[in-house]
Amino acid sequence: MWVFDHLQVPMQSTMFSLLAFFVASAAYRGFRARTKEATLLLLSAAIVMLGRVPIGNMIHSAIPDLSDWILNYPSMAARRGIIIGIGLGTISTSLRIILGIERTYLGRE
Amino acid sequence: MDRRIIFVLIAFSVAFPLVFKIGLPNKVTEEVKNVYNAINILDSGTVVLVSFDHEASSLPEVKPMAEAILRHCFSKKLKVISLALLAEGTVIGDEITRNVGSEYNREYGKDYVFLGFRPQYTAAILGMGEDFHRVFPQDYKGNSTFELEITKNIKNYDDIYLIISVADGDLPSYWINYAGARYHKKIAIAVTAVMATSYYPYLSSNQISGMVGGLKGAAEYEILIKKPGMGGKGMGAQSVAHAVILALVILGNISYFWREKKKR
Repeated sequence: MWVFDHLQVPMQSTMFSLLAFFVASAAYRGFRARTKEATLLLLSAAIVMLGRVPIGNMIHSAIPDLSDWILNYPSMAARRGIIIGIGLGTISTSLRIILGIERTYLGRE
Repeated sequence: MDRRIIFVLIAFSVAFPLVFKIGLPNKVTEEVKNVYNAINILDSGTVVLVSFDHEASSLPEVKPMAEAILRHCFSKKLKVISLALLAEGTVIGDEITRNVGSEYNREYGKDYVFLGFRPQYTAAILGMGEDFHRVFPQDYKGNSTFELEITKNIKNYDDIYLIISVADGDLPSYWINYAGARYHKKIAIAVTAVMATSYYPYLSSNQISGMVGGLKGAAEYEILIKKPGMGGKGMGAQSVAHAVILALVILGNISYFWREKKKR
């Protein structure tokens, strides 16, 4: 318990906390509005980043609402599509394995 | 710009609000209110299950959420059965449950219990739906769950009203798929902000009662239960850090377009 509380937890928390610095550095270097799509992505990210903290509401009361709209509609729709795709892929792969069509797990092609 | 300048800016933007305690007003969102309401309507003595499905790395974000939810449960005099389906959540879950339980003078074994860790979370979630004691014959301290007052009458999910998964990964989706879809249990989740976006489809289809997302979710929950904690304290730091990162992105874009213009 002592090892977990005083070694494992601080070490893992430290590793994760480094992410904040590297994300900031990567954002400064990589987030470029080169195309229309990249600009849209950047704007959405900016709105959600501000909307998810109190400072967004202080800048303008519409920012948290807009952030919630982005999360509840376009982002949710894309995520739902991914989940459905994963589900369909899982069903088809499972059927192929059960019916013996897919045998790569046995080392065969 | 030298990245060390960026690192120093981020360090100051996080440290300054924490040291000088900058408090900012928070707006409570619908999904957090739904978790609060799901617990608030329960009568005293109702059994809820809290699962600590996270690792130590997400502790700063997950602990405020877990503490706020447990404070709400204990203030309502609910019976809390907590467990962990990820190994690292075991010690953390035990510590948080005991600490918050003792804040409200709750008795271990009667008002709350920590059952420990079970591997193979799919089997554990499905197993509890059939025979609770078969999955957890003993609690974390080795006491028989057949004898503990809080667990002796628990046969399966029919005796548990609400399941709350505190997680930093995709474990809540297993609770939703198995405990929710197969056993029709009410599920609420408390997840890190990064993972919260993955669960909006489940929120939209009412497969979960509500969702507490990240440190902001914890801060909102603390407002609802009127008990300030680390969630609210961390929001100042998070706000300033987000603003600094956005400013850096804008600066990066301005310098990029300026260089492109000069090239032409």
